Amino acid sequence: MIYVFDETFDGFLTAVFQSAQSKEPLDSVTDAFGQSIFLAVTQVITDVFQAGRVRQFIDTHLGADMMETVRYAFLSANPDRFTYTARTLHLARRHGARVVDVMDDAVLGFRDCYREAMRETHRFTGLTRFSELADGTLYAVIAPKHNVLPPVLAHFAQRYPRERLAVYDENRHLLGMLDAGRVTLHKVTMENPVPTQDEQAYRQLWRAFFESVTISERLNPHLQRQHMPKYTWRNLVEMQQTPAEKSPETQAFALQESPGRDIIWL
Amino acid sequence: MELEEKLRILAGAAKYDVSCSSSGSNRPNTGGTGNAAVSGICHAWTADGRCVSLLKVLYTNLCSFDCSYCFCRRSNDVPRASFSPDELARLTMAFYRRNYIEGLFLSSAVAVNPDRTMERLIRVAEILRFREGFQGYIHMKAIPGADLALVTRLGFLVDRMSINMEFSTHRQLHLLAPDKQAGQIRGAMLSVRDTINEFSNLPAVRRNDTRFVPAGQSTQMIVGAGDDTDSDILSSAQNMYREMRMKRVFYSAYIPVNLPHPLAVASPVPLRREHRIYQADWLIRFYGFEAGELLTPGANLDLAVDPKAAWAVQHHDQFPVNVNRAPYEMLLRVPGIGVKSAKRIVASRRMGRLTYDSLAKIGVVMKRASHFLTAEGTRATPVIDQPERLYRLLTDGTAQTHQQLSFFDGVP
Ligand code: SF4
Repeated sequence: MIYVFDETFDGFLTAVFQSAQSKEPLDSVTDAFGQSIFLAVTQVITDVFQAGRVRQFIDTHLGADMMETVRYAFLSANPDRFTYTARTLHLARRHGARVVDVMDDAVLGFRDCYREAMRETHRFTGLTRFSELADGTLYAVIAPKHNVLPPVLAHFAQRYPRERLAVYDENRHLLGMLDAGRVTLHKVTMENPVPTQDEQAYRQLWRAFFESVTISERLNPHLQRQHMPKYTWRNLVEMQQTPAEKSPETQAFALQESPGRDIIWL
Repeated sequence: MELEEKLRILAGAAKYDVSCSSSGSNRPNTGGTGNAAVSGICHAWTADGRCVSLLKVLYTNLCSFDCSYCFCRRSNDVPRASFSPDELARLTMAFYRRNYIEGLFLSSAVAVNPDRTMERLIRVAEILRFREGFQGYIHMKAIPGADLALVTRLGFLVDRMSINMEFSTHRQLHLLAPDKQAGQIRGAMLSVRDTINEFSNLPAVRRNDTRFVPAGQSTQMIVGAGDDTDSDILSSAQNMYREMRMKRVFYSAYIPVNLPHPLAVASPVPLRREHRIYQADWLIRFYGFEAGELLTPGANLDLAVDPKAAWAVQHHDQFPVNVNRAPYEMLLRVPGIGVKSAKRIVASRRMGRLTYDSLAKIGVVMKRASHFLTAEGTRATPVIDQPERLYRLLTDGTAQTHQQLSFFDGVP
């Protein structure tokens, strides 16, 4: 049986609940159509009560760490992330918190999904660069492989609680905002803002610092790319030559679109 | 002088300093700007592959001391620059808000005298903490010879403090850094250790508003500028961890920056030597090894194999170990098994017997480990009683480099 849910986390937990109740074996859990037409499909309608039962099961029997692990695995870009996670949670009914040590392909896959998303989150807490816009907003663009914007934004919301923050995931066209203590997520397409003169000066200082700390006797570009993979360079000030930047205009940050939905990360 | 030029000079002068680590502090945000993350965050990697986490600069490179291994020493004719406390604090904030950095790592040459320099460093930290409300990570180096009262004042402002010991023996320090006194360096370390201890015993409520060097102290040794051996270096490092309760000891392979000095070694130190020392340091801190187990007095580490493999080859009679029965401590001694995989083995074997296949899935590096362990099922041809063959199998890097490097070091 294939379970198809809306993109939400509660929708996913509902699918976990329903597939656990069912007598039929679980083939996969997905948030998209287009799987094999020969297999039976269940369209899952998000049910907060059923989702709550799964949350409660995780919290009381598996612990807060497991909840975090599930949240991260959910953000992974691995096509089988939902299936792995659902199967692991099913197995957890028998093994409890020790399920993560069971030698099972779904559990190993689940752990990989978690690890990838968690690692990339950690990576982007370092590899995100903000620019200060004319109105004082700190704005950053990232292009992560996994859907790590929510935990990345949560990190910065803790770090800069007094700032107005906007982090844009240009791969998914998602904008996360922190404004007056409220964190929201918006589906929009953003243009890159033009940097102010001050902003350009700080970028230049940063590039100067970065250049002068490199030990030229010990170049090791392979190691550099291993930690700072090429796909992140586009948005890194220090990995770009001084660009011929357009004339700085004063640009304030305005979001005309929807009010967005509140997001809570852990 | 333009800020950019100053930054280039003072960052360039600090770059050989090795500590990139920003971890170990937990300074939650309480309304200001920033916080310090326990696990440490790297923000960029230079083309030489090192992590950039902190704005690492000297406050000034004007020095009244004359250490033979140092580029900034008094007798060198090099461009000099100094920040002002205000300028440096603003730069730190601008970089921090843009998430270029995790915090500030400030060191300094000894301008005028140690106390004057320490006062400047304290001023920078005060502006950051009190005027800018900065709650991010600050690591500063205490200036050798500065008044202990100043060292303590600085300790209340920073997350980590380090005092460089430079060499593992007093004799080397005396020869190569004649203006520094081993007794003063030791005295400052002891004082920081005791104050940290005093504050960590406070009840939790009071600990939150008064922090003294919450990420602990660290120190640094230069490898290969003098004639101290790896065994000297590792035993004093072990002592630093145990007696001084250091969080980290950093090692820096010497790069000759000055004209030949009659007392200093003139050749650069192979980076691999530094690397091996870091591996051994790791074994002492997390794998339950003693410095004396890894090296006999006066010896250097083998550059061709890592110190854990070298130990295992020497003690091949203690292998193979049975992964389904061996105690955790012994699992840790198997080449190819790290702390994480040792823990997972202990957790997983409760659920069933472990096979060779499952070990690879757990993350054990079977290419190395398979020679040293037994598990459920078939086993590869044992080579455990052929130490020479075992040694060759564990060599990383080519035999040629080994000879070149060991020639440098005089390894027998
Ligand atoms: S005190 Fe010695 S090591 Fe430090 S800057 Fe001066 S000369 Fe260099």
